[in-house]
Amino acid sequence: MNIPPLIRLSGVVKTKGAFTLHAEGTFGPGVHLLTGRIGSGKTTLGEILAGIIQPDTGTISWTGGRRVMLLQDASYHISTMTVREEAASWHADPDVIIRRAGLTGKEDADLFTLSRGEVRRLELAAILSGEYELIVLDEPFAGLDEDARCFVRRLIETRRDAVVVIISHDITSLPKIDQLVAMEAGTLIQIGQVPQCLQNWNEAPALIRYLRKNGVCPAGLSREDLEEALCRIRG
Amino acid sequence: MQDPRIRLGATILLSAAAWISLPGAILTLLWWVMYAGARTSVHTIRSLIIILLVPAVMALAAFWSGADGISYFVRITTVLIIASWMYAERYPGELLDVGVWAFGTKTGFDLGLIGELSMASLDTLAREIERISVALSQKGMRLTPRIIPAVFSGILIRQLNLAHERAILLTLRGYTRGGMHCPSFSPSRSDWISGAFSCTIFLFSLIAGDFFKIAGATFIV
Repeated sequence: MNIPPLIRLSGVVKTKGAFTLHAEGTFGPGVHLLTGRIGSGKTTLGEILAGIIQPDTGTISWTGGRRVMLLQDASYHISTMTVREEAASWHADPDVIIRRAGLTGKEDADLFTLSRGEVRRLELAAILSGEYELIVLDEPFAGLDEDARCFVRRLIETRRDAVVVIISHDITSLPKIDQLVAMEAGTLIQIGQVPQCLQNWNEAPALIRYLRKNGVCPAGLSREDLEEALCRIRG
Repeated sequence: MQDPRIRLGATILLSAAAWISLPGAILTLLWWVMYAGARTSVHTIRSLIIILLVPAVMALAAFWSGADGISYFVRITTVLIIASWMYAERYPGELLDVGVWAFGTKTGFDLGLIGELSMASLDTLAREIERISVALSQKGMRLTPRIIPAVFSGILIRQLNLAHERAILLTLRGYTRGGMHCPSFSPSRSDWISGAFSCTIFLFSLIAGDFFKIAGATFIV
């Protein structure tokens, strides 16, 4: 039986020039939104979680497996020239990856002729098909059109058995989020479980503040939940 | 070294000194230890090995063909060390400062701008290669000759896109040729002293390397 993954950060401190990051908390299975202002340390925490950079002090303990994948720029993962070769390079069934990425019929296409959204879909489909305990997605929706965002949302929804951390300061394109964490001036704040925590979210973005001001609390942070909450205001 | 003009001058003189003669290369290394604090932009053994791989192969080839491979290796390594020191010491905008100071606000500005854009691209390139290595290792792959065409095609396309975006930005800001820039420099006493020593090493290397040997006679200057 597989043990559900659990990552514990204890007294983690990382200094980069004038910036210092402090992190203390737990990440369990499900989709976590790591949000915060630009420059608050989201990407640094993502890199610490993924083991790319080491904290100066503190410990990160893992329960149940330690296979990690960090997605920053999807094109960094490209190691072949065609869609089929690239899907096969992930050591999984290439047909399944291509189908999940919605690229059926483009198997022999040159990767460098694909749009940014198509490359992101391919790499995300490969990552989310892989057996990783931790998947960190740094701004997975940046630079994508609405159709591609919707596609990526659906792909992410398929992996609730792993610890999925979405790093984003944009809350308008998210899948269903289980836990909300934020970086506030370099310090990790575990805000809580969604949707219960949304009422107490101190540094909530303008959209959430607007909904709360109008007496509406969304049932979640997914695109659909936010649209439904906005409809409730309008009646 | 604070003053980029003296640093650039010292880099040119010391690189030439190291290339011209073995004694010049050894004195340049001493200068690097004494005045530059042995500072370098190469921080890992892996990077050092990659950088020295080509000179080492060339030196071996020279050695096998009867030439002085050791001298070649020391001289080239010293040139690379001085280049890495200069890269480590630089600050953003210094090439624009030096360009405008040396050649004015038209040609100098353009040359400085080209230099700054090139340096920024080098930074981006280094960061990209680091990120790609991480991405590939997470995928269970290494940067092998088989995947180099795909990886470097990606890097090339991203660099071209970046250059295109920068060109659009410059055009939108009204850039056609030249520009206003008022550089200021604050050379310290140690800058002048180390600069003077680099001139001395260059002259010594010229003599030691028989640069002025004409028809069997050495001219001492």
